[in-house]
Amino acid sequence: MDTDKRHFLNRIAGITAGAALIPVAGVNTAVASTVIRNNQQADRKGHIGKRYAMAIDLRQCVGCQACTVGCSIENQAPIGQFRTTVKQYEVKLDGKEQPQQVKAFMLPRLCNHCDNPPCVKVCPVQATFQREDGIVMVDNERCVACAYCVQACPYDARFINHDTLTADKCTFCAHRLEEGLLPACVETCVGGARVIGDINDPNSVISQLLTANKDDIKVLKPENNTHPHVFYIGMDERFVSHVDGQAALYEPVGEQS
Amino acid sequence: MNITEILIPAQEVAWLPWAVQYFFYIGASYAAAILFLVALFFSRQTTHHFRVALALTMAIGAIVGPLALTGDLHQPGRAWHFYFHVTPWSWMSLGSFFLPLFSGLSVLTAWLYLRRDIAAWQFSESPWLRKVALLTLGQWQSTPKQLLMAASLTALSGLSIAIYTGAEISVIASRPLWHQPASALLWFTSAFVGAIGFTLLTWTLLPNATKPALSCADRNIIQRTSVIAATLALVLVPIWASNNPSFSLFADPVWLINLTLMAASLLVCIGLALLFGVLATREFGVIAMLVCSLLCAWIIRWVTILEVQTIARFDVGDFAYQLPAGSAGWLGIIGIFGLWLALALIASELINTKATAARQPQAPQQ
Repeated sequence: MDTDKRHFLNRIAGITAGAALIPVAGVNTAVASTVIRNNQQADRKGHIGKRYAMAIDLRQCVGCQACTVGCSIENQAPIGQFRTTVKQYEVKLDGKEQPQQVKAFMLPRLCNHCDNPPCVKVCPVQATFQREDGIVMVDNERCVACAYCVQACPYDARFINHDTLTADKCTFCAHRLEEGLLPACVETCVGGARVIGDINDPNSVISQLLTANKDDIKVLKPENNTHPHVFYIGMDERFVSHVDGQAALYEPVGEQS
Repeated sequence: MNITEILIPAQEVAWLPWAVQYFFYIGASYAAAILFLVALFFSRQTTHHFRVALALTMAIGAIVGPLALTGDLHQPGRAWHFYFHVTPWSWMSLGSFFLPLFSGLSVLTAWLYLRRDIAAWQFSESPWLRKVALLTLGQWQSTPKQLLMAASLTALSGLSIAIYTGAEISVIASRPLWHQPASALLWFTSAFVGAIGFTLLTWTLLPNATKPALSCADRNIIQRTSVIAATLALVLVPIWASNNPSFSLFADPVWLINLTLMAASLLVCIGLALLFGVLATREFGVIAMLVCSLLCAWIIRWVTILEVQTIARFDVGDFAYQLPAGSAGWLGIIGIFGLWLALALIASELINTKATAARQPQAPQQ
């Protein structure tokens, strides 16, 4: 009886060990909740130990679009396509005062470099990846431009570049960070509204700014569980998930190449 | 508080009409693969010509569909990257393996089924046309068992296409209208409506000289498939449409038209299918049925894949889409349909009327 038991346990152990060898890929596909970063290669690591993030102090933004222009010149996005831009709204306040108070609201937008990036896990050729420092990148020599990532991003941060015909997005100007420079949008911001830095370092400017304003920080679409890493200070909750209002006259992009 | 958008760049449609076309042709193809297997099971009751039409719908869709899909890649020359960087956690990557397998099996099954018809060309009067018989690749006889095996594998492979195409889009959480089982089920059910349309079109193209009328079993398969598939899809339409949190599709005038078009085209298909016993005996009846079925499958895919992309995910929207005239638009749609038609016209000529007349009955022995 004892021998039988031992055999039985041995067999169970064998099955369990065997189960570890079953590729978990299929399970990942079915569950689709595991965080995929596609960054096994040495050249996809970035600055190990850091976690880049951006804080945008909306109280400082005047909507001058200097960041939009700075980014377009630095990264050469085609006319009509933007890695970052500032969305602008007219807000009529409730109240009985006459004349009625009308304010402008500015919302700078860019890739949120999410900690659970939905764009990375759908890429069928692992062209898009997230470095250890949190920056989400696209290897546009590998990209097949299927636009799966464009669909998966809930923030409209990605687009198929009309010139390169591959997926394109904000990289936090990783090429500039590597040279010790600030991203083009941060550099050009006239009000100092955009602050980039390492949130793993408690002494960094961004960490101190986020700590000082910890009660007034919002991210876009938190309900999507993407854990965005662009933090807005002074954000109105009506702009967090979906804008409910009057539509703009959307400017046509023009003839596509 | 009253918010008005002032400066908002429009978000472009990223999956072009190519994607709609892919879902249109591949859906008809995998549904035809399943129906072909059914028709083969009832080979004593169904006619050879009906089975030929199903086999050709399956095989031609499996060739044309993937071509439309590569059109949706903005870098079609890099399609080999799918096989160089295998990514099993991405449904699209899995699809890149399921799809060639299905296309290969579909062509193989259709070829096995048509071998006897192709072989009959050796009796042609023209020495040039006699060479068509070489396409049988040898004199060996394909057995009904081989055929049944190949058709079963193709139907299974067709199911893998249904699952991957549905899952591929359903996993996209950023679009609630896609991120629900109803979207995948809607494509699956309406795929059979499309398959009936293409099968009837192919059947119409087959040479008339010896073509028997659709048998009772043929008509039953067409009628029941259409009624069941279109009814299920009709039930799914409101379920699918109610899952848009940013605004109610039922209250939006543009979307109300879209949904009405989907529902009305399904209703017309159900109505025509119920009358198919009468319609099948008249040419215009068959043509009306096939046109409505094709339009219905197309409208459902157009609305659920392309129009959905015009809904803004964050902004007020919607971002209107205009179908361009060039290859990404009208030209591409007409061109791919032209390719389908050309292949169907050529393949339907393989049914050699003289040889067919010489050997009756046509059904393979089971």
